[in-house]
This record gives sequence, C-alpha cells and structure tokens, in this order.
Amino acid sequence: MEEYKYILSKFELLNGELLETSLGYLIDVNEANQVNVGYENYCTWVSNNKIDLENNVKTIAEYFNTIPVFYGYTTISTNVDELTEITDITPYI
Amino acid sequence: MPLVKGNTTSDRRVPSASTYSFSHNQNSGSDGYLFVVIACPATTVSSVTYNGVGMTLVQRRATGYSTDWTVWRLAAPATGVNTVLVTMAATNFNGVSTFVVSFTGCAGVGNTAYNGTAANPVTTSVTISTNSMIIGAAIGGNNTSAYIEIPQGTSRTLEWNDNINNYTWGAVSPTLTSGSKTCQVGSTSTNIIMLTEIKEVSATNTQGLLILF
Repeated sequence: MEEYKYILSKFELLNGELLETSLGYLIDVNEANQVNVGYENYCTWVSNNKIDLENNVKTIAEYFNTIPVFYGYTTISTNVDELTEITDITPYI
Repeated sequence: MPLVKGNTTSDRRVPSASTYSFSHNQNSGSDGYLFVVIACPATTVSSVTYNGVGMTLVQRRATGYSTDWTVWRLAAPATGVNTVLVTMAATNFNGVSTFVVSFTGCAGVGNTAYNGTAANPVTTSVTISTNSMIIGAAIGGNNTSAYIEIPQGTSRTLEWNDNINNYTWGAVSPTLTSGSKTCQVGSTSTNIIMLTEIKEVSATNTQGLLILF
C-alpha cells in the first residue's frame, strides 16, 4: 500500500496573484483536512463569486483583504524528498 | 527491463490564474516516462511542461461535462524533483484535477479508448500488448461509491478522486496480459471513461545468435 503525503502550503497574495509556498508534508489525512479548511474556504468564496471574478467585477484580492494568509493542500504525492514532515499543525489551523 | 510504475502526484486546485504548477519526483531508471492526466472545466489546457520541457498530447476529449480531458506524455524526463507547469487558454476559477505518474522500463503510449456517452456503469475497451498497464480515468456527476475496474471485475484502489464542479477519479493497473480489455467505472450518478495503454519496453535478446549447422 502506497503512503500518500499531503503537501501543506501557505497561500497569500503577491502582486495581485495567488502565491502558494510549500512548507512540508503531512501523513495523517485527518490532520491534512483540518489544515485544509483554510483553502476550502477560499475555494468556496471563489465558487460563490465565480461570475464576478470571470467578468473582472471582482478580484481575488478582495478575499485577502480579510484573510491575508491561509493554509491547505492542493497536492498529494507518493514521494516528496524535497520536503520534511510537519508534526504539529497547530500554527496552520 | 520490466515496466515499473513509479511515483505519483495528484493535484486538485482552483487556479485563479491561467497557469498553475507543482512538483513531481521522477524515478531514476532506464526508459523513463512521464504521463499526466488533466480534467479541466470551463477552458482548455494549452500546454504542459515538466522541468521546462514540453509534453506531447496523447488524447483530448471535449466531454459532455464541459470539461477538457487530456492525457500528456514525456519520454526520458529529467529525474528527481521538477516542476509540472500547466497552461490553460484562460484564467480558471473552477477546480482542476491533475494526476502525474512516472514509469521506468516504458516504451511509451499504446492504444487509447474513450466512451463519452454518460451512463452508470459505463465501459469501454482497449487492446493492449503483453505486460502493458492501463491508466483508467472517469468523470461523473458525483463520486459517491465511485469505483474503477481495470479490467472489468477487478476493482482498483483510486489514486485520485477530485471535485471539479463534477468529479473525476482513476487508477493505474498493474501489468496485464495482452488482448482486449474492457474496463468499467461507476458511481451513484452517470459517468464517462477514458483509457490509456502504457507499454513496456520489449525484451531485447542480449545473448547473441546461435547458429546451427
């Protein structure tokens, strides 16, 4: 059975664009999902405002006005040699 | 040199831009190959690069789920950790799914198959060579009880299962015997299916010739 690693990332706005920075990885899917609430909240906001975003009525910068930084994962991999395991998710939830 | 499946990376994100990228670790070994499967709602994928090298389109399906469904390949990719960069035709505010899988001992892509008539379950068949593997992928209206059988009757553990407005999931088979393989996907909604054969490098006779008189 392959072991999947959830790559924990920091999301912030840089020059009007979404910047994702990989911080490390988690093995426990429950911990990964706890952290991922931040990213899922962003995805929900984008979904709720999709038409305005597509028509340039809104920009993603509006989301970052109230939540400047959030955490989550977009990538799951069997091999992440370049990253280290995160054992304490407290700073990211 | 047997065909060996290596590292996999699955990525699901709302890009909020016309490009996105993430890392993948290509295994070392002879006859390396990289395959990428992308389900991209609302717009199309223009190009994919790995370590800055352009990948070749294997198949593209314009699905009834308003999702551009593509498979890409790259022979002899750089080993180690490198960047997968996906470029789309437009900024995308929808969930996009990307699955990346490495191989060694790989001769590249073989036959492909697609059944875009949504049904539950849905099947399609592909004829493969000895010791090929099959990347099987599905798109469906939901992922409740989602499964994939490669071939039909042999369920595989899902290697990706992503929310992209609709849902997409899939798996890679182990090496299989030659012949026509019917594969099946299903959930509690209707689905479509896409298959890609991954071929093994043919065994080479390194013993020379025996000449009989």
